[in-house]
Amino acid sequence: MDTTTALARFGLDREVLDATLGSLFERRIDDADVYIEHVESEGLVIDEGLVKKGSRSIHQGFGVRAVVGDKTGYAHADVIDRASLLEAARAARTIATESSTGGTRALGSAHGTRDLYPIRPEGDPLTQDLGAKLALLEAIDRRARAYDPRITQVQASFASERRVVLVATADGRVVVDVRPLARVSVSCIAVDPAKGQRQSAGAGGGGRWEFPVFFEQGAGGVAHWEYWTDEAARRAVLLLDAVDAPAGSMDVVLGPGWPGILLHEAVGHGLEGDFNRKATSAFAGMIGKQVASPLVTVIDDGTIATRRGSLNVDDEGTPTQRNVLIENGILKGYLQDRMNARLMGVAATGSGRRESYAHMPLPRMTNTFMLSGQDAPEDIIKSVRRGIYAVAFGGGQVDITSGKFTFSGAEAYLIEDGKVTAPVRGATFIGNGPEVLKRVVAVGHDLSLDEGVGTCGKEGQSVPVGVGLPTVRVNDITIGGVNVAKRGGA
Amino acid sequence: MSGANGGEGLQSRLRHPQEDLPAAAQGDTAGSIDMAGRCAFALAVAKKAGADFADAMVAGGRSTSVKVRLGNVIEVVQSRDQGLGIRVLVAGDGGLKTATTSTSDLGDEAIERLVTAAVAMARRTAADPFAGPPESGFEPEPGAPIDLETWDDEVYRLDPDRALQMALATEAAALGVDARFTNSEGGEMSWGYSELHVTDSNGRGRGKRATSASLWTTPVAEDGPGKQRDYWWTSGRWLADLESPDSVGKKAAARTLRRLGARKPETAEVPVIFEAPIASGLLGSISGAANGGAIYRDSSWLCGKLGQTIAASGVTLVDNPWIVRGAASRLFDGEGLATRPMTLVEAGVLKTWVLDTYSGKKLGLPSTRSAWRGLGGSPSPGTSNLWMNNGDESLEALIAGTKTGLFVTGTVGGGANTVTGDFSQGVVGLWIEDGKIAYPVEEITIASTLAAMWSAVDGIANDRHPGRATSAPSFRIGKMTVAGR
Repeated sequence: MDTTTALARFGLDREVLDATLGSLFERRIDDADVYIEHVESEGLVIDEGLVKKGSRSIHQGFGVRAVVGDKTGYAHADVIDRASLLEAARAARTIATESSTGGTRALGSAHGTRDLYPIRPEGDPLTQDLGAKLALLEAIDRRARAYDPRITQVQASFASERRVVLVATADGRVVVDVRPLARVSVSCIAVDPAKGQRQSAGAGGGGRWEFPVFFEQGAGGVAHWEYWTDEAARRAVLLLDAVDAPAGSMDVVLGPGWPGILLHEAVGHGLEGDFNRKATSAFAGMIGKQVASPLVTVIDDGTIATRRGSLNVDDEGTPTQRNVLIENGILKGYLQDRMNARLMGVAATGSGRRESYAHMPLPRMTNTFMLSGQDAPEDIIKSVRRGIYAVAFGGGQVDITSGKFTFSGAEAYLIEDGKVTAPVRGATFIGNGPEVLKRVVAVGHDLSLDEGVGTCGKEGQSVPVGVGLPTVRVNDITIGGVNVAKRGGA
Repeated sequence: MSGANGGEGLQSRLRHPQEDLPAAAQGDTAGSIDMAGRCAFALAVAKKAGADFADAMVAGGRSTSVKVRLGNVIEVVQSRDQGLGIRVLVAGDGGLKTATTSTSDLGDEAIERLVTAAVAMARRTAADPFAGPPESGFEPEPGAPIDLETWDDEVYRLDPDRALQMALATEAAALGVDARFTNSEGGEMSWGYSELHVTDSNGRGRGKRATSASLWTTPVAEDGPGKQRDYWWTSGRWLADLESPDSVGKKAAARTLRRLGARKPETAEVPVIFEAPIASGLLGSISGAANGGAIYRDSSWLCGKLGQTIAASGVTLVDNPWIVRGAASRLFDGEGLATRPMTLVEAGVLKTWVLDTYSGKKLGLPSTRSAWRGLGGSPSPGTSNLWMNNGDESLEALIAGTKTGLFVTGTVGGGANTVTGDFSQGVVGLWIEDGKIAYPVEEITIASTLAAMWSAVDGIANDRHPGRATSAPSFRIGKMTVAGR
């Protein structure tokens, strides 16, 4: 979408942006932007075999920002018109006290030169015929119930949105990005009355996809939606036979894909520019230092086509890029938005993201993953005498100051004498971010990215992200099970 | 991060009222939107498009926040929000069909387009014999307060300079406590108001409005190689109900300092005391599991346990929406039913599910008038002001009565699985030796099952913080697995 079309859609023209930025620059400020957004979204849920309700919404609004030094003035509203923009500019600029002769700013007309997620109108999940989406949900429900008689409940949803973002920057650029996003989620409950066991499991995926992609072949040699359905059902049933998880420090083999949540929590947040500029991160001042095993190279890449975490430009209008965070164990750089980059004297890395117009941008991750190593995954498992093999996780969290992070196991097994044995019940894993990657002793050659389900929260703002990992062995992670007797070590 | 949600750690402390607000006081009109008029317009469009029932909600508000760090203002944010949400129901074969829609554009054209599309969408969904609005229960309950006092003009008219001074004073009070405070994540004061109007196609309408204010600070302390942060916060509908900046700052400081020098203990099975703010978070493992939506789907560890003993006899949980100035108080629920207090767990016995009209019908029970509704969707059940009754000993006595154990003062992810009843959580805390606090601990998890934990509550302190929507006193669980080294 070009700038003029986007502006017309918001009922605005170039002059309004000039006037708004001009109003901001009547004060002496270092940076400013106007962010305008229109989001149309739809949600459909099948529950107890029936699509009982659907929802659709349109949310739009703008945010006006003035930055001086490390200070930010921000005003946002959901009525997009000249008067509201100028009122917001007057509110935002109160952060700066000195006047300036800046006057009106003349904007250029740059817009994106690449499109990582083009969507043809006929493939747009949002505007797809409702019948096709309802049929998909009904097929998921039938497939999950047919998987095993112990599956008692199935809930599945199809969520899609189209987000049109326009950013006018202080250096005279106007950038427009149209961001599609769609996701299937499946959750199953399995009950074994004889054992008195009840388990739940979920799976799903998607991305900045056209609708037919959901029906293309994915993992397991079946369509993506079929794979996620099978995974949710399989895992719920599997857990009915799970044994208590051990408690204590153990060697852990993480499977490929979504277990990359380890990187997101253990190092990703701690490498965001704001925490390091303020020196509140456990990683502050460690550029050039060894923070991981030499086997470990960690990348944050916002430019992978059609991925959930990818963006053509970030929410400050900076093109995204491939950022090397850790190379062969050495800390190479932080993730930067414009403000923190300026204050730290480095370049912005295309990492300024916001949940919506009602939020200020923060340095955030996009798709964060570890590069493949040399080892065969089966050899890595064989190398562990007694430990845990974890292939799926729920959520995670980190305290970036102390560096302690957790992630919650959703599918994990005991490793006994180099063999994967019994599944274990859900347990929380805890570790120390600056230390844990130093204990990576093997990296597989099987990097894969997750299926497209991640949502990252920071300071109350949620944004879609991706993670990825090859099979890795990490020694000495604490597992929060109940079984002290089965405590083990390498 | 997670498939569902998760976080870096600082979320959900600054929640502005966006959903169902407590009842309005009379008098001053803060907003400029004709809320009743917009609802009426949306309902007329729904009727014209063929809806058999609809309820429309318009909400709006303004808020401001001022954030400081190391003695300087670093952020000033002004927010203005508005939105309309409508639920439309169309009669189908053997039941009603539902769709919902919401928009921040309150113009005629946007409402007309979205509501018409919602009715068309509803026709395509499945008929549900249990769907539909409540039929009775709209009259106020005897004994309900006349005025929940949700509106404070002092918050509404708060001078930003005064707010700035409060934020500065809060952070300064924390950093001034000790020379080890070398850094800060800042301090913030935020305040504002929200208004709401709901009308349904049977002509029932109601409006509410509320003010709210909150204040927090997160100091960072350093001692040798170790760096720690913690926080404290206060919030209220009335400015006068906030804790003083000095108190908030000093509590945040004390909470941070006691974490310095933390070690990782040996794996062990010991008694665990949850400090009141953390104990409050455990109440969701009962109230969430007793939610009608989880019960009718047979996906709760409490399924089949109504009327049974699920906790030790000292455990009583009360849900009371009638607390004057309370954080989650309301006279009417999200379906317009008159609220009333209820006892969820009495002396360890599970007394009721938490129900809205839909989940009640699914279970053959009346609604407990616990529906909440946001702009974007249908009503669903939830608690209001939920608390666990105080015990009769002090926290000091509870600790002194614990020979060896763990005193949990913070969480780092994980928690209760209300489907399976498993519990596993990353925590920080203080190790107890011989009835005394010995040293801080971190990088540990605690685990058990919810059934075992609630049955093993063997000591309850008298330190519940009444100002929060969900509150519990500190309490001790006889034995849990603590995983460390």
